[in-house]
Amino acid sequence: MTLIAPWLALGLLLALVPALLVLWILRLRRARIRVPAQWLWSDAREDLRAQVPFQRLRWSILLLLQLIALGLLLLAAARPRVVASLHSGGRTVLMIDTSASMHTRDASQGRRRFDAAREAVRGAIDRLHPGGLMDHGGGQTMLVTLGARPQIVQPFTSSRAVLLQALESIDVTDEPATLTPALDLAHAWAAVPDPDAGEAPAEGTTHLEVFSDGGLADLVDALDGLDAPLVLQHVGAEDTPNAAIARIGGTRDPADPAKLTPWVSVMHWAAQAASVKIRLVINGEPSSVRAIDLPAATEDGPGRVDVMFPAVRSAGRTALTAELVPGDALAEDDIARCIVPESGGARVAQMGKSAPLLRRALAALGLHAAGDESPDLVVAVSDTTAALPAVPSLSFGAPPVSAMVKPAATVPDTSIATSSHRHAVSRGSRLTGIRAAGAHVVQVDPGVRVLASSREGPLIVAWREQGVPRIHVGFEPSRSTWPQREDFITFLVDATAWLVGIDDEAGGHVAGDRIELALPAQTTSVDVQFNGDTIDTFSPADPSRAIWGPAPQAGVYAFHWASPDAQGVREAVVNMPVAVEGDTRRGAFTIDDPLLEARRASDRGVPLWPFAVIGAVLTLIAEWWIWVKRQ
Amino acid sequence: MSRWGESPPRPASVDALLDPAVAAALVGLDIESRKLLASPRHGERRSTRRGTSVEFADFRPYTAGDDLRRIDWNVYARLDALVIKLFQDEEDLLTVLAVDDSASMRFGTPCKHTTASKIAFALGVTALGAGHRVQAHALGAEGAVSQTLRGRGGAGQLGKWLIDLSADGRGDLAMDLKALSGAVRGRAKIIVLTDALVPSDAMPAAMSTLASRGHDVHLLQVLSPQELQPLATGLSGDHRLVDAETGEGPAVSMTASIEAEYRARLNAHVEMIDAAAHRCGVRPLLVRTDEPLEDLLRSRLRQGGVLR
Repeated sequence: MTLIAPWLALGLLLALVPALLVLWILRLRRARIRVPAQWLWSDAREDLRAQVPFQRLRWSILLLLQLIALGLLLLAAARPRVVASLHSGGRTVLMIDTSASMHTRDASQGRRRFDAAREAVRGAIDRLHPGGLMDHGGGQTMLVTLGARPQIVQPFTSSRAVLLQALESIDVTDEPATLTPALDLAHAWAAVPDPDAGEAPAEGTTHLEVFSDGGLADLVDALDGLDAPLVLQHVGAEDTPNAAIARIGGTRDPADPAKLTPWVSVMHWAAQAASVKIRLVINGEPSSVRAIDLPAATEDGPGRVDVMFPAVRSAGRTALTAELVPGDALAEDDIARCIVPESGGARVAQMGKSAPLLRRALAALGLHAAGDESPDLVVAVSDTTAALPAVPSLSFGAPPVSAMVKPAATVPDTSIATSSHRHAVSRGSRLTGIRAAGAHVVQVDPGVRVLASSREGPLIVAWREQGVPRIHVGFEPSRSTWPQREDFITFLVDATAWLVGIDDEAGGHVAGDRIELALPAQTTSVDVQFNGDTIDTFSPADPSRAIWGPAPQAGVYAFHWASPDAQGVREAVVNMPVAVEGDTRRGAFTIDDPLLEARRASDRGVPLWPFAVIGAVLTLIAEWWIWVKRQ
Repeated sequence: MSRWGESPPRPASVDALLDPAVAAALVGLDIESRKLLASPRHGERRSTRRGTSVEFADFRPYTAGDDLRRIDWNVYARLDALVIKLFQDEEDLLTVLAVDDSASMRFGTPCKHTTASKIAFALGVTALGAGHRVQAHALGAEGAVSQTLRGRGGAGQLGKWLIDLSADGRGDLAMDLKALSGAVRGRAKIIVLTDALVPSDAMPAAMSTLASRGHDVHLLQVLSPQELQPLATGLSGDHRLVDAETGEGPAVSMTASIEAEYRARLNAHVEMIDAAAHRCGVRPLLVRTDEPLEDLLRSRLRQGGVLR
């Protein structure tokens, strides 16, 4: 049993019990008794005890019952609850979700989900380390944040004050959250409580408690093979709708590169359709406002609308900002930014089988054939004859010759079962459900990122081979249902942007990503500024490339680089990880695992105060009955 | 559950005044009188005066004017002397039932007033059954007096008169007793039923006045268990005691010592009444309201000279 408000009860106890006893020893009220001859009591009238305001406290069953009733009422005031399954003592790892979706302000709660989670963690600390005379400080608790990378905010400690102080230092980020690294971290620390101190391995079970709104991309996978008791405490409402700008970009006309057509992709997680406006700002100047209707979400995913804005003329580097008006429960993803590089698109060389569909699509993206010039990008379709040149490549069908990606099997008919939203190439597209004929499943080395897989194995992968970025799709688009889907072009945009490097500044990063930027050779130091404040300074390991992150917040990061003979600035736009964090309707955890217990963070067990109140009332009734019988 | 000392409701009908068991106990009983009381009427009670009853009393010489029918001719035949036979004159007995109707009587469980009414009714029924006259007086109720009742038919009237008493009088008991002595014509058997809880010293004088008129006076002092043993009957804690008649009262924290003081004062008062009664020829008797009425009638009232 836990007491939610013990201090209130203690205060009332100190105030009311003495008051009750004073009422008993005071002679404030006397029952009027009719007697035949009061003069017979004349001596008693002079009794001193009847004249002084106080008397000796005399034993009475009525007093006992009143004290019992008062005690029960005080117990009710302390709001007791039975939380039978939550443990106390031992080692516990408290993991609090600090991902972007925790910004959400549910209408029913009136505060951020993160604030609710922090209060729940505070309650857990209260339970594990109640403090006071009765606290023996038996438990050891560690505090971990769930973001793009788990962070140990406070290693194992038995100090309640230290834990609460560490908890107050945590704030929500714009990152996505993953559970697997946090569980790995927790398991490692549970085995050796303080590796830095060289402690011996710990014995006994370590309990894990996760406080999240459910926006954990790898929740199911992370719990596979769970070997420690885990309590998932859910915060937030299950029906909070959200609209978010998933992607923003600008397409230049191949015939007139200065002609820029901005576009925005909006996702909508709601059971009902809605209408919003999109306000577009170009290079800091308001440009236009478009009203759109957002379709309701379906079982396949959120409602999605792609909006093309009227073309504008901007040949140079162009900053685009789009904002949804009015905002909603998760305001942080209602705004997105990107930077469209200056005109002069990349040159593409095509290899292997002829693919008219791809050629037209790439042309629409502003990429033009390299001809005799050196290409910026190679697009290969089922070309297995020779190694690809040392330029970025996007290959389809049979895998090209590679040391890191090798053919595994050919599948006559398959479909994409799982996909990753954590890569810049795939986060804007919904790849699951694409059906393909003659697909080539590949076998990959550890450094290769799998973006999508069928049941037979990886189908879409991305990797860097000798520093050269490459993407391979294990089927030909013309032999799949992909071109019929609206996100085919989105994938091509994201893939070519990532491959030719324009993604560095364009806005392909999301919070939680590492930012990779090409820098002038001989760069010696980089200052990272965000909103005008320098937040980091480092010397790049590769003088021509800056790798920094993860970026905790969405916005524009300025990288001030310096080399012995020059200095300059490159910017990186970071947006919200909408694909993972935009769904604010995640319900309570419903995972069937004997080691797993799912509960709402606000559910602190069975409240006992109604029983205490009923007991008090019954006691008072009994007291009244006895009093009446005595009269 | 009633409060301590609170009385249950008064009997609502005459039948409630006389239980069958009590009625059965009355069979064969009569009002006792240690004095032969003069009465203007012939009755069933032997009188000190010579009269016309069949019970022979004495002889006396014939004188002119005597009723010739009273000459004892047998004596004349034997002694040749005219003598007149004297017979015991028979008078009826007036029984006065004086019931205290003051508010102090409406107290206790059983109620003192109800108990006094039941005793008065039983005595009245006994007296009427024996052919005596009965008169009922309410003390403390501004001199309420019943008609002089006679014969068995008077029992109903007596019962109704008792039922109609309200027990809320505020009168002076001593004054009422003195007034009673004057209100009764001739000499009578007076039975006073009261708690006699009067603080003044006027009670002995009143009893003396009552007895000095030649009445055969009994004082039945009716008290309840609550008065006699307050602690044992549930009076505890802090109370304000309110006098039934004056409305005044002290604040009392009930303890054993307080009760002891109270009981000592009550006993002293009872003993004072008892002594004063004996001094003036009034026969006192303490009656508890929880005492079985049959036992009271058949035993203690006979021993006390009220009944025979």
